[in-house]
Amino acid sequence: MDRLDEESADLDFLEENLKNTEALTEKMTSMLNIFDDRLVRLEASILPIHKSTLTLTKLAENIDRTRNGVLEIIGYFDLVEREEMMIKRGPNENDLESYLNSIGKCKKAIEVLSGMRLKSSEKVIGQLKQLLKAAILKLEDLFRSWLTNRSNSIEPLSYITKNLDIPGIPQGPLQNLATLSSYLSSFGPEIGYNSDFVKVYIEVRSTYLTKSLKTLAQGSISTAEKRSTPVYEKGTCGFNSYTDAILKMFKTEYEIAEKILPSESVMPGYRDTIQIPLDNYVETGRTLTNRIKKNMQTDVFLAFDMMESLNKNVGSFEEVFRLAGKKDSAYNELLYSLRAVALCSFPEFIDEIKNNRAKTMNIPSDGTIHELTITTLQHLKRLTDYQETVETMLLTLGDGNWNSSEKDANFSRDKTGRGVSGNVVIQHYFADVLESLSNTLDSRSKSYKKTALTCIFLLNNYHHILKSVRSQFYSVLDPDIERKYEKMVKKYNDGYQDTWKPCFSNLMDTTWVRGGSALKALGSNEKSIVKEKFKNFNTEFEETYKVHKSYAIPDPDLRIQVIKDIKIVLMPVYNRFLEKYQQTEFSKNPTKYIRYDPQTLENMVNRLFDGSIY
Amino acid sequence: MPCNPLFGKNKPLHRKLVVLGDGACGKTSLLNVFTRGYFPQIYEPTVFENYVHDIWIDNQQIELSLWDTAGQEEFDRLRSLSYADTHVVMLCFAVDNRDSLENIESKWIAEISEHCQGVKIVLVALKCDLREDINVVRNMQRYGERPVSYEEGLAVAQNINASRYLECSAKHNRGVREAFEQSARVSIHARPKGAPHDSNNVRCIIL
Repeated sequence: MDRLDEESADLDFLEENLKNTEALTEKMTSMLNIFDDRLVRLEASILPIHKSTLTLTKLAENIDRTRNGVLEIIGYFDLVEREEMMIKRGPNENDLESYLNSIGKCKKAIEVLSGMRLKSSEKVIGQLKQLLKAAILKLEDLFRSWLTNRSNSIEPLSYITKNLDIPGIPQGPLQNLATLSSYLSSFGPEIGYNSDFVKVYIEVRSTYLTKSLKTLAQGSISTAEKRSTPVYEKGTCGFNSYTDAILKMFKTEYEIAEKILPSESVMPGYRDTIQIPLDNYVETGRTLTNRIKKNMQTDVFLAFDMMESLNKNVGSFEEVFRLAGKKDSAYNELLYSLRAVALCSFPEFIDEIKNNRAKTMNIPSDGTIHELTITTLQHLKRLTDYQETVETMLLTLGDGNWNSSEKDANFSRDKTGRGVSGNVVIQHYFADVLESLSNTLDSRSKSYKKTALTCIFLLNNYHHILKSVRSQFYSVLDPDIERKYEKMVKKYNDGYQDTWKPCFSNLMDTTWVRGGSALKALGSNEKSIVKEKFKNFNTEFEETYKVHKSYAIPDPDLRIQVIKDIKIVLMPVYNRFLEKYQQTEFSKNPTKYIRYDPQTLENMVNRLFDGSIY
Repeated sequence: MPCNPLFGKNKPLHRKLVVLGDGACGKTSLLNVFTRGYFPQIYEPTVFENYVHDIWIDNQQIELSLWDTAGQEEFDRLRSLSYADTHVVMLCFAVDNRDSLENIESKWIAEISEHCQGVKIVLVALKCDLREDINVVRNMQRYGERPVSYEEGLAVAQNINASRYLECSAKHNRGVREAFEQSARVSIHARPKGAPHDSNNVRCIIL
């Protein structure tokens, strides 16, 4: 029971606690309600204050921004004053950057101010543009001065001879010039001024080229005019070096133009840069061509030289013209006029040889090789130095068209030139030249009074031709030509030898055979015949010897041959006669008649023509 | 001096006969045997000789100028002195030397046409006795050769258009007189050929 009681008592205690807790809860609820009321009231009083604070903050920000904007504009307005000094002073070459920054600022200001369309900024924009223009002029000056510093004229010949490229502008300065150029080209109509820096470029570089090439241009003329030889020697004219130099310089020049000039200005800039040097070059070529025209026979080889050089470089010139975007008619005209002059030289040369016949050309008194023979063969030799060019030109001229007169049957050939190759046409030309020379020599030889001298003259000349044919023109000429001149040499040697026959005939006696035996003892009649023969031989020999000794045979081999041919007849015939009669008593005083022992006679003949041994 | 009505009805004719042929083929021996009946035993090359010898042909006296020449090639120029005004050429070869026959056509005809174009030619075979000389025949056989026969000589004579073909042996004096007589006959009606010595004319060459 206790237990029940205990539990009843606990229950009562718990009920009591519950009543207390409920009372407390009620009290707290009423307090919370009071709090809520108070909060609602507080909110209603704070909210408007918060709203007005926000508005005020925004207002303050706007005011700040406007102020900054105005300050910036004012800054642009002040820019002219701030930068004027710097810009007008011009750039410091070592600190281009800050100068370009100043210009950048001005440009930016113009851009900005133009965008605002503020009435008050118009004046400032105008000032800024003036300033920019001044800046550009300063930059142009700088461009000119930098370019000029790098455009000192050179001697291109020293590079040509060492086969080196013409130097350009070093990398650093080239880069600076390129920077300036791109800066200058970026100014456009916004400042109402277009920079003339391309013109500056053309002017400076053109002067550089012209000055550098001046020596070669003058040299081309002077080497042609003041040479040591009467006839132009292959490769001695400066024109070919001039050509090489101008092409090499133009090549380097294009590389420079490409680096410095803005891309749209490269072609016209390059074209105008090379124009004056090119004009000078063509003018030099024309001067030389005119000189050649006036001195055709001595100077035509200069034309060949020039043509070979121009033809060789035709591709390089075309490349230059392509890069420059131009068609150069002057250059082509030069080539054409040179070719025309060279073509004329072929018939003129033959005419010269033919007409020499008519002139009172000096004929050598000793029958030596004629000047005309020597110069003609020299001319032919020189032509072989330009064989390819000569063949091309002769084909252009047409086979046989170098003969002005149609009279000579030898000279008529198929003139259409069809089916004729270069080596055939040159063969024909050489043959015709030699034929004309032969004709002139033959006709000139007629003015000699003595047959022996005529023969010696023609022998000397034909022998000289033959030797040249063999040694120099073997590859050019038809082999028949050699045989032809061999025959001529034999013919005139025979002709010369014949002139000794009257002298020899004195040594040719007759043996009378009567009754089956030759008469041994000489009768008085026979004796006087023998005396007469000795006397006549001596006289004839001495006269012939005296006259012929003054004749010239300059070629040692020919001289030896001619003397040998005299001796091969004279010596046996003389010996025979001497042996046959010196035993017989044809005279009481034989030494009166036998003037020469065979050795003396032979020694004398050996000394014939020795006036021509130099 | 009484005149023989059979002889001397005409003035003597002057005729020039030139003996040509290779060196050592026997020209000088032939002339010596003819003019002097003498056959030389020693060979000595001739420079030149000119014998004048009278001969009678059909009652006509002919003063025959006989020109002996140098056969050697190196004396071509010397020989050219002999060609002027020639009526007849006795062109000789030796039967024991085939080269001397070959040279008739290859060398001598060319030389004659150069110096003496159109002259009458009598072809003469020399040393004909050697055809029967056993040593010569044997010697030639060693080289596969034999002496030149009459027919071979005749054929060459026809080729070169010779007026006569004659064979002799000077050593045995066979056919010598006949050879000269025939040549003299040929010469009677011949016109002289060959430029005279003293002419200074330079002959033309057809190139």
